[in-house]
Amino acid sequence: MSERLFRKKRRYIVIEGSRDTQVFEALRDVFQRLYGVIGLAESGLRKIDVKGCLAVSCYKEWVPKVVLAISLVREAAGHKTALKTVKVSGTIKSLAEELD
Amino acid sequence: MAREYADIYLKGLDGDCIAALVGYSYRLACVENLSNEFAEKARSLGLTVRRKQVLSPSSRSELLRCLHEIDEEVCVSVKPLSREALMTALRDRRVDTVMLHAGIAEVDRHILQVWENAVELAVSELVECAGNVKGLRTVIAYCRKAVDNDIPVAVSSGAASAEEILPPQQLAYVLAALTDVEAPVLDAVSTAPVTILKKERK
Repeated sequence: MSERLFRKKRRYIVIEGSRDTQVFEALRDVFQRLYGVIGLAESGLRKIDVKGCLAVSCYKEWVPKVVLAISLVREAAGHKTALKTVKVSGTIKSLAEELD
Repeated sequence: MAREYADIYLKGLDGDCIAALVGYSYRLACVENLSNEFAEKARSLGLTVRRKQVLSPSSRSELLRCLHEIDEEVCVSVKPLSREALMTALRDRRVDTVMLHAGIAEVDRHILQVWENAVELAVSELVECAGNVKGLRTVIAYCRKAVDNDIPVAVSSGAASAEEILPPQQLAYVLAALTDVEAPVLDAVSTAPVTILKKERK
Protein backbone atom coordinates (compact mmCIF):
# COMPACT_ATOMS: atom_id res chain seq x y z
CA MET A 1 0.00 0.00 0.00
CA SER A 2 1.19 3.46 -0.67
CA GLU A 3 2.31 5.84 2.03
CA ARG A 4 -0.72 8.03 1.36
CA LEU A 5 -3.17 5.28 2.39
CA PHE A 6 -1.26 3.70 5.29
CA ARG A 7 1.32 6.01 6.68
CA LYS A 8 4.53 4.08 7.25
CA LYS A 9 6.55 5.02 10.28
CA ARG A 10 9.95 6.52 9.68
CA ARG A 11 13.06 6.39 11.80
CA TYR A 12 15.92 8.87 11.78
CA ILE A 13 19.54 7.82 12.26
CA VAL A 14 22.27 10.35 13.07
CA ILE A 15 25.72 9.51 11.73
CA GLU A 16 28.73 10.76 13.66
CA GLY A 17 31.11 13.29 12.17
CA SER A 18 30.76 14.21 8.54
CA ARG A 19 27.83 15.96 6.82
CA ASP A 20 29.45 15.35 3.46
CA THR A 21 27.16 14.38 0.57
CA GLN A 22 29.78 11.87 -0.57
CA VAL A 23 29.40 9.98 2.70
CA PHE A 24 25.70 9.53 1.97
CA GLU A 25 26.54 8.48 -1.60
CA ALA A 26 28.94 5.84 -0.21
CA LEU A 27 26.25 4.61 2.18
CA ARG A 28 23.68 4.42 -0.62
CA ASP A 29 26.13 2.46 -2.80
CA VAL A 30 26.78 -0.10 -0.04
CA PHE A 31 23.04 -0.38 0.70
CA GLN A 32 22.26 -0.91 -2.98
CA ARG A 33 24.98 -3.56 -3.28
CA LEU A 34 23.45 -5.42 -0.33
CA TYR A 35 19.71 -5.06 -1.01
CA GLY A 36 19.45 -3.97 -4.63
CA VAL A 37 17.47 -1.19 -6.29
CA ILE A 38 14.14 -2.59 -5.03
CA GLY A 39 15.48 -2.60 -1.47
CA LEU A 40 16.67 0.97 -1.91
CA ALA A 41 13.25 2.03 -3.14
CA GLU A 42 11.30 0.13 -0.47
CA SER A 43 13.48 1.32 2.40
CA GLY A 44 12.68 4.98 1.71
CA LEU A 45 16.31 5.84 2.43
CA ARG A 46 16.99 9.55 2.24
CA LYS A 47 19.43 12.09 3.55
CA ILE A 48 18.45 14.78 6.02
CA ASP A 49 20.36 17.43 7.87
CA VAL A 50 19.94 17.80 11.62
CA LYS A 51 21.78 20.72 13.21
CA GLY A 52 24.67 20.39 10.79
CA CYS A 53 25.05 16.63 11.28
CA LEU A 54 24.44 14.00 8.62
CA ALA A 55 21.34 11.94 9.35
CA VAL A 56 19.44 9.43 7.27
CA SER A 57 15.81 8.53 7.31
CA CYS A 58 14.21 5.20 6.40
CA TYR A 59 11.10 3.17 7.15
CA LYS A 60 11.05 1.56 10.61
CA GLU A 61 11.43 -2.06 9.45
CA TRP A 62 14.56 -1.19 7.44
CA VAL A 63 16.52 0.33 10.34
CA PRO A 64 18.74 -2.74 11.07
CA LYS A 65 19.58 -3.10 7.36
CA VAL A 66 20.47 0.59 7.05
CA VAL A 67 22.65 0.38 10.18
CA LEU A 68 24.34 -2.73 8.71
CA ALA A 69 25.10 -0.76 5.54
CA ILE A 70 26.42 2.14 7.65
CA SER A 71 28.74 -0.31 9.46
CA LEU A 72 30.06 -1.71 6.18
CA VAL A 73 31.06 1.65 4.68
CA ARG A 74 34.84 1.77 4.78
CA GLU A 75 35.58 4.38 2.12
CA ALA A 76 33.98 7.66 1.16
CA ALA A 77 35.29 10.14 -1.41
CA GLY A 78 38.57 8.25 -1.67
CA HIS A 79 39.21 8.42 2.08
CA LYS A 80 39.19 5.51 4.49
CA THR A 81 36.43 5.94 7.03
CA ALA A 82 34.20 4.02 9.44
CA LEU A 83 30.76 5.47 10.05
CA LYS A 84 29.18 5.36 13.48
CA THR A 85 25.57 5.82 14.47
CA VAL A 86 24.85 8.26 17.29
CA LYS A 87 21.16 7.70 17.81
CA VAL A 88 18.10 6.14 16.21
CA SER A 89 14.98 8.16 16.79
CA GLY A 90 11.33 8.39 15.77
CA THR A 91 11.27 12.18 15.45
CA ILE A 92 13.67 14.82 14.19
CA LYS A 93 12.88 16.88 17.27
CA SER A 94 14.30 14.28 19.68
CA LEU A 95 17.37 13.87 17.45
CA ALA A 96 17.97 17.61 17.65
CA GLU A 97 17.57 17.48 21.45
CA GLU A 98 20.14 14.66 21.62
CA LEU A 99 22.61 16.73 19.60
CA ASP A 100 22.25 19.82 21.84
CA MET B 1 20.62 -3.22 36.23
CA ALA B 2 22.50 -1.58 33.36
CA ARG B 3 23.95 -3.81 30.67
CA GLU B 4 27.66 -4.54 30.68
CA TYR B 5 28.89 -4.13 27.10
CA ALA B 6 31.86 -6.04 25.71
CA ASP B 7 33.79 -5.83 22.46
CA ILE B 8 35.58 -9.13 22.28
CA TYR B 9 37.81 -8.49 19.30
CA LEU B 10 40.20 -5.61 18.84
CA LYS B 11 43.39 -6.08 16.87
CA GLY B 12 45.32 -3.54 18.94
CA LEU B 13 44.91 -1.13 21.83
CA ASP B 14 46.24 2.39 22.29
CA GLY B 15 45.19 5.52 24.18
CA ASP B 16 42.64 6.53 21.50
CA CYS B 17 41.09 3.06 21.49
CA ILE B 18 40.72 3.14 25.28
CA ALA B 19 39.06 6.58 25.11
CA ALA B 20 36.67 5.36 22.38
CA LEU B 21 35.75 2.18 24.29
CA VAL B 22 35.14 4.09 27.54
CA GLY B 23 33.17 6.74 25.60
CA TYR B 24 30.85 4.04 24.21
CA SER B 25 30.46 2.58 27.75
CA TYR B 26 32.17 -0.72 27.10
CA ARG B 27 33.26 -2.48 30.29
CA LEU B 28 35.11 -5.44 28.75
CA ALA B 29 37.38 -5.85 25.75
CA CYS B 30 39.57 -8.57 24.27
CA VAL B 31 42.68 -7.45 22.43
CA GLU B 32 44.94 -9.46 20.16
CA ASN B 33 48.17 -7.48 20.55
CA LEU B 34 47.95 -6.20 24.09
CA SER B 35 50.69 -4.35 25.93
CA ASN B 36 50.74 -4.31 29.75
CA GLU B 37 51.03 -0.51 29.80
CA PHE B 38 47.70 0.02 28.00
CA ALA B 39 46.03 -2.83 29.91
CA GLU B 40 46.85 -1.00 33.17
CA LYS B 41 45.66 2.32 31.76
CA ALA B 42 42.36 0.75 30.65
CA ARG B 43 41.86 -0.89 34.05
CA SER B 44 42.30 2.48 35.77
CA LEU B 45 39.41 3.83 33.64
CA GLY B 46 37.09 0.93 34.53
CA LEU B 47 37.66 -1.10 31.37
CA THR B 48 38.68 -4.72 31.88
CA VAL B 49 40.94 -5.92 29.09
CA ARG B 50 41.79 -9.53 28.26
CA ARG B 51 44.34 -10.93 25.89
CA LYS B 52 42.96 -12.66 22.82
CA GLN B 53 44.43 -15.13 20.41
CA VAL B 54 42.96 -15.86 17.00
CA LEU B 55 43.94 -19.23 15.54
CA SER B 56 43.54 -20.02 11.86
CA PRO B 57 44.05 -23.78 11.65
CA SER B 58 43.65 -25.70 8.44
CA SER B 59 43.41 -29.13 10.10
CA ARG B 60 42.24 -30.79 13.30
CA SER B 61 45.75 -31.70 14.41
CA GLU B 62 47.01 -28.16 13.88
CA LEU B 63 44.15 -26.77 16.00
CA LEU B 64 44.74 -29.27 18.80
CA ARG B 65 48.46 -28.53 18.83
CA CYS B 66 47.83 -24.76 19.04
CA LEU B 67 45.22 -25.18 21.80
CA HIS B 68 47.68 -27.29 23.80
CA GLU B 69 50.21 -24.44 23.79
CA ILE B 70 47.81 -21.62 24.76
CA ASP B 71 47.66 -20.06 28.21
CA GLU B 72 44.32 -20.66 30.02
CA GLU B 73 43.71 -16.97 30.68
CA VAL B 74 43.72 -16.05 27.01
CA CYS B 75 40.42 -15.72 25.13
CA VAL B 76 40.68 -18.17 22.24
CA SER B 77 38.91 -17.59 18.93
CA VAL B 78 39.24 -19.95 16.03
CA LYS B 79 38.91 -18.97 12.39
CA PRO B 80 38.73 -22.44 10.81
CA LEU B 81 40.11 -22.78 7.31
CA SER B 82 38.74 -26.29 6.73
CA ARG B 83 35.59 -28.22 7.60
CA GLU B 84 37.62 -30.63 9.73
CA ALA B 85 39.07 -27.77 11.81
CA LEU B 86 35.61 -26.23 12.08
CA MET B 87 34.06 -29.43 13.46
CA THR B 88 36.80 -29.64 16.10
CA ALA B 89 36.60 -25.94 17.00
CA LEU B 90 32.83 -26.10 17.47
CA ARG B 91 33.05 -28.78 20.16
CA ASP B 92 36.39 -28.25 21.94
CA ARG B 93 35.79 -26.60 25.33
CA ARG B 94 39.10 -24.72 25.23
CA VAL B 95 37.73 -22.68 22.35
CA ASP B 96 35.78 -19.57 23.41
CA THR B 97 34.38 -18.53 20.05
CA VAL B 98 34.38 -19.74 16.48
CA MET B 99 34.85 -16.79 14.17
CA LEU B 100 32.59 -16.55 11.13
CA HIS B 101 34.36 -15.60 7.91
CA ALA B 102 33.84 -15.73 4.15
CA GLY B 103 35.76 -19.00 3.73
CA ILE B 104 34.00 -21.01 6.45
CA ALA B 105 32.50 -24.38 5.45
CA GLU B 106 28.76 -24.40 4.80
CA VAL B 107 26.52 -25.33 7.71
CA ASP B 108 24.92 -28.80 7.58
CA ARG B 109 23.32 -31.30 9.97
CA HIS B 110 26.66 -32.85 10.97
CA ILE B 111 27.92 -29.45 12.05
CA LEU B 112 24.69 -28.81 13.97
CA GLN B 113 25.15 -32.12 15.83
CA VAL B 114 28.53 -31.16 17.27
CA TRP B 115 27.97 -27.40 17.64
CA GLU B 116 28.50 -26.41 21.29
CA ASN B 117 30.69 -23.30 21.27
CA ALA B 118 29.58 -19.73 20.72
CA VAL B 119 30.15 -18.05 17.39
CA GLU B 120 31.61 -14.61 16.86
CA LEU B 121 30.78 -12.21 14.08
CA ALA B 122 33.42 -9.51 13.64
CA VAL B 123 32.37 -6.50 11.56
CA SER B 124 35.87 -6.40 10.00
CA GLU B 125 35.28 -9.94 8.66
CA LEU B 126 31.84 -8.94 7.43
CA VAL B 127 33.36 -6.01 5.52
CA GLU B 128 35.74 -8.45 3.82
CA CYS B 129 32.97 -10.83 2.79
CA ALA B 130 30.48 -8.11 1.76
CA GLY B 131 31.44 -8.56 -1.90
CA ASN B 132 31.51 -12.35 -1.71
CA VAL B 133 27.94 -13.59 -2.23
CA LYS B 134 28.62 -17.21 -1.23
CA GLY B 135 30.58 -16.16 1.85
CA LEU B 136 27.90 -13.72 2.93
CA ARG B 137 25.19 -16.35 2.45
CA THR B 138 27.12 -18.83 4.61
CA VAL B 139 27.72 -16.26 7.37
CA ILE B 140 24.00 -15.36 7.40
CA ALA B 141 23.10 -19.08 7.52
CA TYR B 142 25.36 -19.57 10.57
CA CYS B 143 23.85 -16.56 12.36
CA ARG B 144 20.29 -17.78 11.74
CA LYS B 145 21.06 -21.40 12.73
CA ALA B 146 22.79 -20.20 15.90
CA VAL B 147 19.80 -18.04 16.88
CA ASP B 148 17.35 -20.89 16.08
CA ASN B 149 19.35 -23.35 18.20
CA ASP B 150 19.97 -20.97 21.15
CA ILE B 151 23.71 -20.90 20.55
CA PRO B 152 25.26 -17.63 21.75
CA VAL B 153 26.35 -15.22 19.04
CA ALA B 154 28.76 -12.42 19.95
CA VAL B 155 29.25 -9.45 17.66
CA SER B 156 32.57 -7.61 17.81
CA SER B 157 34.12 -4.77 15.84
CA GLY B 158 37.46 -6.43 14.91
CA ALA B 159 38.87 -2.90 14.97
CA ALA B 160 42.51 -2.21 14.17
CA SER B 161 42.26 1.46 15.24
CA ALA B 162 40.06 3.75 17.35
CA GLU B 163 38.30 4.90 14.17
CA GLU B 164 36.91 1.40 13.57
CA ILE B 165 35.49 0.86 17.07
CA LEU B 166 31.70 0.90 16.81
CA PRO B 167 29.08 1.68 19.47
CA PRO B 168 27.40 -1.39 21.05
CA GLN B 169 23.95 -0.45 19.69
CA GLN B 170 25.36 -0.39 16.15
CA LEU B 171 26.93 -3.83 16.58
CA ALA B 172 23.62 -5.13 17.94
CA TYR B 173 21.81 -3.86 14.83
CA VAL B 174 24.27 -5.75 12.59
CA LEU B 175 23.09 -9.10 13.97
CA ALA B 176 19.46 -7.92 13.85
CA ALA B 177 19.86 -7.18 10.13
CA LEU B 178 21.35 -10.61 9.40
CA THR B 179 18.71 -12.51 11.39
CA ASP B 180 15.73 -10.42 10.23
CA VAL B 181 14.86 -8.98 13.62
CA GLU B 182 13.61 -5.40 13.95
CA ALA B 183 15.09 -4.56 17.36
CA PRO B 184 18.85 -4.51 18.07
CA VAL B 185 20.08 -7.83 19.53
CA LEU B 186 21.76 -6.32 22.58
CA ASP B 187 22.50 -9.76 24.08
CA ALA B 188 25.11 -10.21 21.33
CA VAL B 189 27.19 -7.35 22.77
CA SER B 190 26.48 -7.86 26.46
CA THR B 191 25.15 -11.16 27.84
CA ALA B 192 26.72 -13.47 25.25
CA PRO B 193 30.32 -12.10 25.28
CA VAL B 194 30.29 -11.59 29.07
CA THR B 195 29.17 -15.21 29.58
CA ILE B 196 31.84 -16.42 27.17
CA LEU B 197 34.57 -14.55 29.04
CA LYS B 198 33.39 -15.73 32.44
CA LYS B 199 33.09 -19.44 31.53
CA GLU B 200 35.30 -21.91 33.35
CA ARG B 201 38.07 -23.36 31.31
CA LYS B 202 39.07 -27.00 31.70
